Amino acid sequence: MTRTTQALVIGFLGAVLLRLSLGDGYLRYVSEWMKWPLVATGVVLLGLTAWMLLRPVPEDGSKDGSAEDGPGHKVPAMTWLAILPGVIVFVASPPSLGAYLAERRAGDPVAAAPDAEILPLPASDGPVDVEVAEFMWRAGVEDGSTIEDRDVRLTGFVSTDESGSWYVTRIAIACCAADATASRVRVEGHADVPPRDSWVAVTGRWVVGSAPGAESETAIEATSVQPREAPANTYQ
Amino acid sequence: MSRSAPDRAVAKNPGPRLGQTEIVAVALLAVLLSQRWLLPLLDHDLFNTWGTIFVAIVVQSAPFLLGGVLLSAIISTFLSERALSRIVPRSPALGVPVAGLAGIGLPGCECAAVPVTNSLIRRGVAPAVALTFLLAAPAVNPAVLVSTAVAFPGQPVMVLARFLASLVTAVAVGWIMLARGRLLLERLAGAGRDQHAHERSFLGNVSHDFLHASGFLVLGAMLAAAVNTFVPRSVVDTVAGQAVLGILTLALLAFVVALCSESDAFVAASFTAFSDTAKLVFLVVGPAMDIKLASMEAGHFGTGFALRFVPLVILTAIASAVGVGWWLL
Repeated sequence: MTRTTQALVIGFLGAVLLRLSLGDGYLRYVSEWMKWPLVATGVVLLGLTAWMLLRPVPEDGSKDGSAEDGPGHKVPAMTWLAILPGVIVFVASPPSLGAYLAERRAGDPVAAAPDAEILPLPASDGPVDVEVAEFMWRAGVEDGSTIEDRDVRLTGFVSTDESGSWYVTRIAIACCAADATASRVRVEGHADVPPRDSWVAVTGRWVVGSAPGAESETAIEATSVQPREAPANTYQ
Repeated sequence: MSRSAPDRAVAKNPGPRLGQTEIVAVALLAVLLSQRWLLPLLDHDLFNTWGTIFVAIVVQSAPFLLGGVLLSAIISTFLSERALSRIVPRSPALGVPVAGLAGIGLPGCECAAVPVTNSLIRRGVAPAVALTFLLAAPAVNPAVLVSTAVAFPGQPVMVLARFLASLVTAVAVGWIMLARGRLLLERLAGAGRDQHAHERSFLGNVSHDFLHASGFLVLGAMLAAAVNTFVPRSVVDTVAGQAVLGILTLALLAFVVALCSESDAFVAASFTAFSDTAKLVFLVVGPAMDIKLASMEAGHFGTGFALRFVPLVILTAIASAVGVGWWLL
């Protein structure tokens, strides 16, 4: 790989990181606090590119274009792979993890209830917004007494299974999309399945007795299902 | 990429290397411009999921890798061998545990540690000592221990067990290499050392190290994303009940999924069906050795070295985690 190509590879990666981190794109892959580290990395890589392109080419070394680097300037052939992430970001623009992964991870263990005392849901006239994962662990503790007979609203995307049931689903990440975990609640009383991966707000009540690990997995008896815009950050 | 095009350019042009750059630039431009037509062809769940996880690992690692490369360039360029020899104990046998504890001071992920280790070896630190630092740094730093405490609420002994087992692994591998690692370290001397680092400028070292590491990081990320996408976790759960098989399975999983050490505790905590010792094995093997690290180490230190170093580290990590788990958990 020549010196100029090396600069191009570094610059391309820097530009991709900047483009992702200055918009909302990075939220598809990593958690929110990564924004400024990514901006800084992109800026440093672009600066490095400028330096690599502008530094004087030593005359005696013009044969390989980099006498300053000495014989150690050669980079492994593997470095070509460094172009690939940027190409994939621009060409395929992989979306946030969605129904496909959630359906494959359906059998995974779910988030445990926090160790602290389980507080009741806040009092409210209308339905209370509850996270999907929280709804699941609340169903599992104290026989679901904290959500029984309460109107709740769950927001998430739609995933399905082979039996034709559909679920309101969320994916949580701790660090990056590689450690994603899915949680889902089956929606009953609404046979009209919304499009897979579309976002919905499901209002309804907990189906008594349904819980993670119980005979029937956690479910909600829906009174209304409203379409929603996908949030900028789809992960929890 | 076709080989003939640049070769022809060589024959015609006294500045032949420009040909390669132009080809790459034009190819990149063509890819970017054809995005609208390529996108529908690639719009497939399986490919998208792989792509998301692959890009996520690379994006997550890039700042850490750059940080590690900057630190290693500082060591290579500005830290004289004399200054370093004052910090590192003269006797390697003593240097190994000191390097293990020094790992507490580098709160980064494992990709940062590989270039730093390489620069330490370049600067004359005994390889066994530098490699101990490589193994300890991603596992015992405060950021990792805090995230472990958060992932295992009410189980502070897990944090202690992880710290001890990781430190024991790093120090044990260091001492094994001092005692019996002659063959291992000879290969390292042949393949990994870069005699020209001190001749380069600071930025020269940064670009050199970054280019060296990035390709191998990407290769590791590709493989880890493939495992993440194509192997369902439920396969893993089928062996949860068996003690020995459970431990080996989580060790293998830690190697192939290559999570960053700040987040692997959350994944480990979700393996509720496994014994605590098996979870500890997952937490100790992962930061010390995974497919991404193995790929980067093969790039930095040579394939011959990596082929011996990788199994040595994994076996030591399993033994250490099982021992500590049996004692504490």
